Amino acid sequence: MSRISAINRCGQRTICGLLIVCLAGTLSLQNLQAQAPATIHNFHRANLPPGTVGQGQILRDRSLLNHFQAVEINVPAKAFVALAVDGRFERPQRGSVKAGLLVGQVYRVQISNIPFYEGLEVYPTIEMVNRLHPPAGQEFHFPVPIHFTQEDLELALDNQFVTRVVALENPREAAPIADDPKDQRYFDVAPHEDPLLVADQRGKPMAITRMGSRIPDYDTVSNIFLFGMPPLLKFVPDANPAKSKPTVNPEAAIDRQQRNVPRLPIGQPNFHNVLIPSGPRR
Amino acid sequence: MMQIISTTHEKTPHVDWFRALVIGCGTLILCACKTVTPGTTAGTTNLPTTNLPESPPTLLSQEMPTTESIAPRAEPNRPRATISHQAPVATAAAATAAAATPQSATPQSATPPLGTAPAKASAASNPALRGTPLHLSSQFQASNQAIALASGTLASGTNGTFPALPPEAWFPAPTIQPRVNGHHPGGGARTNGIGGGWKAPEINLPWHHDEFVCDGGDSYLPVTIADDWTVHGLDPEDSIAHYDTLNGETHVTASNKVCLYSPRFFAVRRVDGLLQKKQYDMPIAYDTTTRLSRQDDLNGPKAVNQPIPPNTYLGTKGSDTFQERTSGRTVDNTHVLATFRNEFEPYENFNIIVRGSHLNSEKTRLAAKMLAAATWGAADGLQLVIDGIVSDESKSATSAGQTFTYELPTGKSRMRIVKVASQENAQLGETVEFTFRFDNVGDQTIGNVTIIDNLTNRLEYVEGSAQCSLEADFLTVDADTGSLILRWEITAPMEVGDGGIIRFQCRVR
Repeated sequence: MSRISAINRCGQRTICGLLIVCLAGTLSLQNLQAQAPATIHNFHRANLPPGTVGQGQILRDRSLLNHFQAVEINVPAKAFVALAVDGRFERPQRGSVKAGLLVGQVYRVQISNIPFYEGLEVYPTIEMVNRLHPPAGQEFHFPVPIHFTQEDLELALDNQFVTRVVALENPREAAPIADDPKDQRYFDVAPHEDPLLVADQRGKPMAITRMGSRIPDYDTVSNIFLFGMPPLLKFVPDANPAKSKPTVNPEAAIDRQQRNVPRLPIGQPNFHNVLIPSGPRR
Repeated sequence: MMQIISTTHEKTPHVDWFRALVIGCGTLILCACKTVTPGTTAGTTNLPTTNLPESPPTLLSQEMPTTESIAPRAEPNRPRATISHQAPVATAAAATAAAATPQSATPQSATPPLGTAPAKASAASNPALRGTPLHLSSQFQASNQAIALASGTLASGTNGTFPALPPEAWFPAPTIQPRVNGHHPGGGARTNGIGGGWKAPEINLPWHHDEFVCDGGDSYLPVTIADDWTVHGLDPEDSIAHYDTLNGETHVTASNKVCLYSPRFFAVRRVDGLLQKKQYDMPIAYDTTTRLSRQDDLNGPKAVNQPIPPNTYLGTKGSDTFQERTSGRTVDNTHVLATFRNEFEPYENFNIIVRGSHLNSEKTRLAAKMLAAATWGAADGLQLVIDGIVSDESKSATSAGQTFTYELPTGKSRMRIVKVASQENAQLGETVEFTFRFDNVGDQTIGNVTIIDNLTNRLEYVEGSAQCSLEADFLTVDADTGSLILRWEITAPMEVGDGGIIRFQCRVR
C-alpha cells in the first residue's frame, strides 16, 4: 500500500512538473510572439537552390499556392527576351514581356541580342516568393517589375554570378525621391551579405533572379534546365483595356436642384460662386 | 472549491492541494492561450447598450459673456481675424443687437487668455444650457449612431454613453472626436493608434498596407497644438484641422484616411565572382653579367647662372571696409492660390462633399472607396427627426422600430473634415487630385481654422494646384522626414454651418 501511495505521489509530482512546464512555456510563447520580428525570411538565404525559398513561403502561407503573379520582365531596349514553353524557348520579344508566374516555381528565360554582345546569350532564372493583392481587375496593371540591366548582363557574361532580389517597398519608410519605372532602384550588397535578408529588412521580397554565364545543355526529356517548365500565363499586349476611368457624369455631380442647400458662406472675397446659397441654413 | 473537491473524492490534504494546483494551472494555461490567440477584438463590446447619455461635460460657462473674441495669432505676417460670439439661442436680430452691445456692459465680457478655459458649469446643473432635444428613431441603433456621428450631430466624446455600435456599421469618415488641446475629451476611441496601425474597414486581417499609399488621419503620435499654435506630433500621412473656440481653446480634428493602391519596388543585388582560378607561375627575368663598353670622362661646369635679388617689394594691404552683401533670408513662401474651379470633379460626387450633409445611401460607395465590400441592405434605413421635423436624410419607408431621444447641450464647437481622392490606384508618375471638405458642424463660431496635410513620402505636391473656396493663406513647409507639409489658414471665422472645399494635386512617385 505504501508502495502504491509512493507511486501515486511520484506520478502526481510528475504531472505537477509537467503542468508548470506547460504554463511556463505558454507564457514564454506569449512573450516570444510579442517580440517576434516582422521578417519572415530569417531561415532562408538567397544562395539556396532555386525554388527553396518559394516553396518555404508556400508552406507558411497556403494562399500563395497556385497563384499566378503578374510580372513584367524588362531587358535593355535592343535585347530580346523569351519564355520557355513546351520544352523550348518561344519567339523572343524585344524590350519587355508580361506573364503570370506561379509563386514558388522557378522559370528560366532567355536573353539574347545583348547590346555590344550580339551573338551571346544568358539564361537567368526567376523565382517568385510572394504575391501582390491589387484591387479586382487591376492584377495585370500592377505587375512585379523584374529588370535585367545592361550592367547585370555584362557582369554575367564576364563570368560573374548576379543575384537580384526584387522587393516591395514599405511606403512608410519610402525614400522621398521619384523613381523612374524604366530604371529600377537597387542597392548593392557585399559578397558576404545576404541580399534576401537585406531586402526583407527594407520591404517585402517578391522575386529572386539569378544569372550566370552557363551555356545550356538541356535535355528536352528531363527538363532539368527549365526546372520542369512550370505553367505560366501569357498576356497579349494591349489585350487588357486601359485603366478604368470614372463613369460618373460630371454634370450629375453638381446638385443643381437644391442650390440653396450648401453651407458655403456668401460674400467671401475669393469665393467664386461654387454654390450659391440663397435659402436659410439648416 | 477545495472543500467541495475533498468531500467528493478524497480527504487526503495533499491530494486536495494537488488537485487545486492542477485546476489552477489548467485555468492559467487556458487564459494564456486565449490571450495569445490573434484577432481578439476586445473593445467592441465595451460600450453599454441601454444607458442614455447624461449631460456631456460642457465647456461653456454659465457666465459666458454675450460677446467675446478670439485673440489673433502672434505671428506678425499672418494676422488672423477676430471672431465674435453671440449667445447660442439668439436670433439673427438679437445677434446683431448683441454685437452692437459694448463689452463693458457686462462685467464677464473680458477676453479670457488664450489656452485657458473659463469657469465650467455642468449642463445638468443649469437647464438653460441644455440645447435642442434631438429625437432619433430607427430600427437599428447602429445605423443611428453611425449617421449621427458621421454628420457630426451627436457628441461622441461621452465615453460609453451611446448604444453599442457594431464595427461593420462604422463609416470611415471623420468621426474622430476633436481633441481639446491634443487630448481626447471623454477618452474617445481612436481608429489609428500607435503600433496598432490602420486598416481599411470591412477588410479582415492581414491588411497589406505596404501595397498602398495612404494619406490622412492622425497616425502614431497624436497632433497637439501649443499655446503659440505650434504643431507637435504631425507625422507623415497626417491630415488634421485645428481651430480656436470662443472660450480660448484649440481643438484638433483629424480627417479620414485615403489609400491608393500603388506599390513601389526596389532591388538588392549581389555580384559573386569566381571561386577558383588557374594561375601559372614562371620566371619573368634573369640576371646576366655585362661588361662596360665605354667610359665617359667627367667634366666641370662651363656656365653658372647668378641669382638676382628683387629691387622692390610690393606690400599687401588688407581691405579697409567690408560690405555685407548677404541677401535677406525670407521664410515666407506664401503661394498665391489659383482660381477655384466652379465645378465638382466626378470623384467628388458625394453629398457630404457637395452639400456638407451625409446620406445613408452613400455608405456603400464610400466604403467601396476604402476597398470595402460591405453591402448595406434596405433594412438599414432610419428616420432622423430633429425638433419634430423629419430631415431629408430620412429616405426609408420602413417604420421605426425603436426611438432614442438625445438631449445635447449647446456650446459645443466641432469641425468635420473629409478627404477623398480622385482615384483608387495610381501608377508611378501619375497625378492624383485630393479634395478636403470641411464644415463647422458645431453650434458655435470657430476661428483661426487651419488645415494641415503632411504628405507621405510617396506623394509629391504639384506646384500651383492648391485651391480653396474660402479666402485662405497657403503655405508649404519642408518636413524633417523629406515630406512636404501643406497648410491652409482660413482667414475669416467660420459661422455655424459654414464649410469649404480645398483641392490639390499630387504626383505619385
